[in-house]
Amino acid sequence: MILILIQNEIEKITKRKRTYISFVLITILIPFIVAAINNGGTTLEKSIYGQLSDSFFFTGSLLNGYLATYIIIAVLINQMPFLSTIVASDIFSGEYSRSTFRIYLTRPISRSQVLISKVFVVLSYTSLLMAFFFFYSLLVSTIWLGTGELAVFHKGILFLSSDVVLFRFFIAFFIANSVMLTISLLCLLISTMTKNSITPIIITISIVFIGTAITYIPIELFKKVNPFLFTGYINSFLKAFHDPIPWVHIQSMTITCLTWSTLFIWLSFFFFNKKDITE
Amino acid sequence: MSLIEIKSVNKSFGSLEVLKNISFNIEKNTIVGILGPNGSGKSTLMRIISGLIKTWKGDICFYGDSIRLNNSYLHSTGFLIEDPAFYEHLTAIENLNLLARLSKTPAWRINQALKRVDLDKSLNKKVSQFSYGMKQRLGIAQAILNDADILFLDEPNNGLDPNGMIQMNKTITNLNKLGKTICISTHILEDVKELCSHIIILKDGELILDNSIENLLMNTKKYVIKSKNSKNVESALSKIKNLKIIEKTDKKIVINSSLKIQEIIQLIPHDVDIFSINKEPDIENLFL
Repeated sequence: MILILIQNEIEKITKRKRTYISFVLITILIPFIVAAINNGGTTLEKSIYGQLSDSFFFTGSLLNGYLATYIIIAVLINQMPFLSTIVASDIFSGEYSRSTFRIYLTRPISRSQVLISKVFVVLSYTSLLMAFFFFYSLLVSTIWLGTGELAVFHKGILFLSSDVVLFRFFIAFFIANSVMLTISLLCLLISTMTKNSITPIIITISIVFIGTAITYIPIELFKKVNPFLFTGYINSFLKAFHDPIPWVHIQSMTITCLTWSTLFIWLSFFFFNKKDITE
Repeated sequence: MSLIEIKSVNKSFGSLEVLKNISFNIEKNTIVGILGPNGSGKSTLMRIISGLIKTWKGDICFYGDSIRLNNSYLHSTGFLIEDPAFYEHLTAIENLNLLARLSKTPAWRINQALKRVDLDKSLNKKVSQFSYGMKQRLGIAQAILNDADILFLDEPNNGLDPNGMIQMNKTITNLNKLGKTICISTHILEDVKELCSHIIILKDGELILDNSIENLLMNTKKYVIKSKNSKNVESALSKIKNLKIIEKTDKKIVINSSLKIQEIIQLIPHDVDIFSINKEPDIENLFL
């Protein structure tokens, strides 16, 4: 039964236009940013070198597809919750507001299974979107600007050889995706409680915004709390480009995101199973 | 054993009691009309039976088994709750496909159901392009999709034009002839008189009547007299004692009388042209 429910959920979302908005936006936006990076390459290099150019003589160019991808992800990662929650925000609230549950839930199915199918679809959509964001950026950037070593800031300038860069991007994807999945599940939880599709996005983004602010406010209490908040890891993908890779940090990020995700799914079960469909 | 037994069902939304200790049975092959004004609790009761409302008190049994224990009874039931709400971005057949998969209904039944409600030519049309009447018929199609033993239709004539209503009532009667038990909730008295074999009346969440049309007819004092010209009939009736005219149109007079039908016929002069005299259950008074 669960496979049938998943098939139904996939059919429901793939035949809706709004499902593709995020993909279309990324498809259009990335080439523009790559073109802009290519155009302003000299300025960008100067700002990377900074005062180092006073002491060192650089030959060749630091600007390549890997660096462009790194910059694109760093710039856009904080905007991704807006796009990744498009499906999650509507997945329950849309059914409440359009009253479609009035027919769907009168079938011999359990609500828990309906919820599992919707969780599966939300997680798949978010992962697909994040994978598309990372690897489409990588594809466009490397085709346009070529490959080479990746220069990043970590204890000064760190050069990562082109052999390990792809692996680093995979780790970065894993980190960013874990956080984004947790954000999507938070949005899904709020969607089980409201019949307005915009409310879950607004509340989720507000929580992410407040959580991110906590990360940057230098107060002792916030510093203590921050490791336990999934929002504190939203920029942690940058650590995938550190040397050595901070596996302990990635481990604690994974545990934190898993814990919050489990809590969000459990609460969604609780609310949805008790919900009276009166709309 | 009754098909459905509703036992002391109570439901409140906050401090508002919507259903108060409702108990009645639904027998096989009947058409039960749940009648009541808006807000009387008809839809809430249907939502409870369908499993859409989860928190309620009392018990409901399907062939003796409590519906609280498992939802397998939903294999044998079909529901049309209020306005039919479909996935508007999908076609009629895609919508029914989604639902058919859930009850493991074979694909040929989809076409059969669409044919029965006369929508077989619109199966590839998106639901967003459907008129209200078409959506209502699609609602019936999804309810009969799994060849259910019992259909719960909440206000099936809601929003339909007179032609649509006639067509819907025909569909309901035909389904009953096919052996389906049907439970209709409505606030339209004419629907009940025309279709139902049993009546439940709810008012302010309380059950105020649970009776068969047969019993109601036996106790009624209400008669409908149809004729070519009501004026002649009216003047003839005005001379009869123990009889009161309560409604009059060109070709129909409704009277209230303690006399038996044969006595009325005998008291009306032979030259007064009458088509028919029929007893009618006095639901209006009970309803009000």
